Amino acid sequence: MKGAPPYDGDPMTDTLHSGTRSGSPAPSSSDAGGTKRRLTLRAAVVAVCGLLGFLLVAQVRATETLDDRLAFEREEDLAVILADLTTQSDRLQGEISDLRLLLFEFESTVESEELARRSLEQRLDDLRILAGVVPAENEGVILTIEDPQGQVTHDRLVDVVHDLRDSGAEAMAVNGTRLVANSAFATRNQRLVLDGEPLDPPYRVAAVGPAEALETTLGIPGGALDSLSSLSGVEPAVEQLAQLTIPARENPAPFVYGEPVPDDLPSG
Amino acid sequence: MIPLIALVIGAVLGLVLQPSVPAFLAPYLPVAVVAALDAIFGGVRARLDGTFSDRVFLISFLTNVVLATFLVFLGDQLGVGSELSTAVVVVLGVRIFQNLAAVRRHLFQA
Repeated sequence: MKGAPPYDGDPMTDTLHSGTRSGSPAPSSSDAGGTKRRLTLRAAVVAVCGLLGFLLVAQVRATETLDDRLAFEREEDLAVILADLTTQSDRLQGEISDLRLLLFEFESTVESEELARRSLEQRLDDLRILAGVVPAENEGVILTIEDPQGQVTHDRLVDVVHDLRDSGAEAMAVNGTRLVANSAFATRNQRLVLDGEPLDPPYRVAAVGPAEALETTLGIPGGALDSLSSLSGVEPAVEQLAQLTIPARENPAPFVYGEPVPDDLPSG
Repeated sequence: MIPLIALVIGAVLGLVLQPSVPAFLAPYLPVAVVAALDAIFGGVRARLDGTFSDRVFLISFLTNVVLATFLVFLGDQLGVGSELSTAVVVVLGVRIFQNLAAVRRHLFQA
């Protein structure tokens, strides 16, 4: 080992060098020849080890980047790599479409829930108007009935309200009291009462609905206006309004006997 | 010891010079390196066994590398290059393990 020639740093030339030397061995191997030969072999071993280190690093560096690796691959290896990547890509594409489908499902669920919510809200609004728990506003008419002699009976007012409903009135109030589904006119002690509250002339019937149609209905010959006018001292007057607000019922009467029948529809 | 130092010097040279592997060598270099590693570990084992010989080491190194490279080259010609290089690497890997096991027994008596 100690006798090895100085390592000149270039493994390639070293290998070549030692190769040529070992290729010319002296047949008459004297003692000195044997030693020289041993040293040559040892030098070759050293050179070979250096060469290996060099190549090792070279190979490691060559595989460092994918591009370099691809450039050095055999054709069939490239085909295998391509097939692998294609399979992987197919799998990922499948995953993408699965997820897209899932997303679409979720979106449509949200959409239908949104639709259901809107229709429920619309229905809730309708029921609120119907129940008179919220004020209603839009175009409409106001019918004022002057009745200084107290000639108007409760069935006249029922007729008026009925005619208005018939021609599309959606919310009505008489003298500021909202008419609801269970409202009723009656006569108690010679006084008109609406839902237990006394009504005093002049009666003022306000209705939200198609104003034109409402006025026409009231004014048809033999209709509500005609029959009211035939009473002595009674002067009905109709006024169309583009904007009219019907107040909410202040104290909605509780329903005592009406129990809702549970429906067997599956919830949700 | 000197061969090991030479190995390190070669590696440092490789890092410094940053050689690029010529394209025609690229398929064979990995197998050649693995074959050389097998020879190196065989040499270490022989050294520990006390049977190390420069001549045997050189011959085993050269034949290992040449034979492995030739096998892969032949495989390329036959169209089974990648399979054959895998086979060569597997066989050499097994041998490296065996040599390492012997080295381990020497060093740790276990």
